[in-house]
Amino acid sequence: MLKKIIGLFSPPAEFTVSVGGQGVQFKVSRGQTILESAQHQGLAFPHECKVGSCGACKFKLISGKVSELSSSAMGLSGGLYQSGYRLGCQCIPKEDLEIELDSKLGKAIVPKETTAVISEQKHLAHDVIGLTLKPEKILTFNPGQYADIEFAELSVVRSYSFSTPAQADGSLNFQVRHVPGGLFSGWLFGGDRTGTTVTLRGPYGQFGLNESPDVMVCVAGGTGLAPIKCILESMTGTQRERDVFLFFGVRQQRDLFCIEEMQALQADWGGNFELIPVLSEEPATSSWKGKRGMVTEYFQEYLQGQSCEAYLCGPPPMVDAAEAELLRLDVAQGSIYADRFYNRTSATTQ
Amino acid sequence: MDTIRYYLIPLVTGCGVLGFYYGGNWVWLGAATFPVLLVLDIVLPKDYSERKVNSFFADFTQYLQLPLMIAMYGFFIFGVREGRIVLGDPIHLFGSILSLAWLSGVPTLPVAHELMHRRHWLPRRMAQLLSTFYGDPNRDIAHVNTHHLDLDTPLDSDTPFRGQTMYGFVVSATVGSIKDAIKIEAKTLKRKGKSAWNLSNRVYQYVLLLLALPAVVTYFAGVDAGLVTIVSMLIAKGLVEGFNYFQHYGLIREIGQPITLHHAWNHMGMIVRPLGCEITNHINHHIDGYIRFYDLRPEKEAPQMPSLFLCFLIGLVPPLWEKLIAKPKLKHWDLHYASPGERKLAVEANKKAGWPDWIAQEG
Repeated sequence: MLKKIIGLFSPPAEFTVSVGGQGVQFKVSRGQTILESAQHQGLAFPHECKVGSCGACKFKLISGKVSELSSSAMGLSGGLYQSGYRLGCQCIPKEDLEIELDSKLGKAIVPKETTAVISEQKHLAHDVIGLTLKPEKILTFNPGQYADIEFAELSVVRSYSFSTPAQADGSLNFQVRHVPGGLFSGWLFGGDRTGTTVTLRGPYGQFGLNESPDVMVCVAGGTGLAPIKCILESMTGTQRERDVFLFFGVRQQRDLFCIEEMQALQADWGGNFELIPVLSEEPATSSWKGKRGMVTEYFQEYLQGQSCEAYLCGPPPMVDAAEAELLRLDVAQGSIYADRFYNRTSATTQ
Repeated sequence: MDTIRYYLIPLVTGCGVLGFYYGGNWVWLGAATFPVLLVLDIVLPKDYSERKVNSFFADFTQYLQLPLMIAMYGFFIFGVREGRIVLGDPIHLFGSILSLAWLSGVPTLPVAHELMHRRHWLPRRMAQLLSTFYGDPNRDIAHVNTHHLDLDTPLDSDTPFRGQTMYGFVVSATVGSIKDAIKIEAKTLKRKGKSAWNLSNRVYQYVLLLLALPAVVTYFAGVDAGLVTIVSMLIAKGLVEGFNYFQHYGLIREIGQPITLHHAWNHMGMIVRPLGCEITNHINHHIDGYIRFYDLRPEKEAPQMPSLFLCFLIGLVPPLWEKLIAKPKLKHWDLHYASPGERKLAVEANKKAGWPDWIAQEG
């Protein structure tokens, strides 16, 4: 009893969470959620929304007590809740816990912050710059992820996807589209910025390659090409045996970029690799012999009857339209991975 | 130095406490802080600075609010009992109502809001008690589970639609948040395998707390004082929703899309920032609801509004609000901040409000 009373005034600084059947244990500091602690310790605890509504971070509580920020019942079905499932983003341990997860708890990369110098800026198209940063500390990431670039002088933070896998010297490549009125892109397009120091934070995001034998359907709108290019370039060996359809949507010929790099990748690909640029606003009288219209108009022609897995990146309307068309062609919802790009945002990628 | 700014909250509430302690015409002291703060917030330059605070002393201001509010009502009760406050005297009556309403509303709501986002049960329960003073003890339920998930969409009753007046919003936000809280509580209990009528349903607490404050005042200070309390709670609720009106007025987000920097209005007044516990330095609070108020980073680039007090005054006259602030600000938002999907929705919203289609005209 005395021990219990003393415990009230000196609660332990951390609790241990044991993941049953996986031999994994991690510590949760007082006041932190299970998901937060797992992430801080580099564990890939499943999650999406982090606010208790999507249910992706569910775990089964085998033993121990938790307090909940909001009831896990808000994000789980009655059946799951009553069979002991709770949400990692809402649960704070009150004692050591034993839990079970439906999937294997792997390692994730812990985001970090470093300064970086702009070592190269190259015009890839009239409104796209290829930006190379040399970070002070090595930043590791998974292809498909993004980083925040902060330029203190303008008080701006922008998110950009890595456009190539990590380079041997630690350099990192991004693609920046000129957003009309955009502070950071406006500044970058305003002159030679090499030598400027920025702050880099990352990696972030869960977009990335999923191992599967299915045909890989990549749909990129504008600089949505960056994470897809990064994923494709990072694929090696048998991964390159997969058939790939890369639909690249831009408005006009002058908006196309990285075509030669994509063609080089195509030449080095083991499976079938179709690069399909589609121009939505190319003048009818131009010399363009390729596809015209919206990328979605060509899905049926290429994908009908194939078992597909889709990677969609670009402006939300394009991603939404692509998703709807793929669903219409019977691609399973769970096989569609999307990364929507927004302007003026600190929380999503460009 | 920045820590001291936040002591404006207990200072303003303390004026009310002192006013009721002395009684007589001093009951106006709390209400008198409103015009002073209003003028200062309008006159002083905007403040985009980041805060450097001692977190203990900054947080301490939040925990002072509940004792101060209890003290204020305590002195109101003693003042009435001992004859220093005569509710038959219109000056005492209106002074009491306005002071109680103003201090129950504006300095109290931001503190309650900050505490309802904390993780420990104690601040969360304190937020529930503080919210009782403005007649909305279950505010946190809909706020956390609806507003933070659905803001700027038609699913959120805390986002006024284009063309909606402040008066209409006070009603729709109140009804909406009560309905949401009742539904959420019932759904949660059902998923837990319990009846919606189970005693753990917080709707019972809502009813009890709403009745408790006027009942306690009535018991100790009489029916008139109880009625003053009810009227003050109603006005305070109106003030709370009235100020809330300007946080997301007319903004649009596609359902299911991420919340980004342009999904809130920011009012960076030098007075309203500390008085409102940075609630008006708003957008980063929506991007991460657990950032403490003094750690919220001001976003100069995010959509900005004039002084919140000025907006409130102008908002009292809806045609003026639409003409002078709402339309120009939303036109700029549509043309410079909105995503293509949001623009489509904005065109519909403007049409519905009977506003010009500036996106087609200039887009």
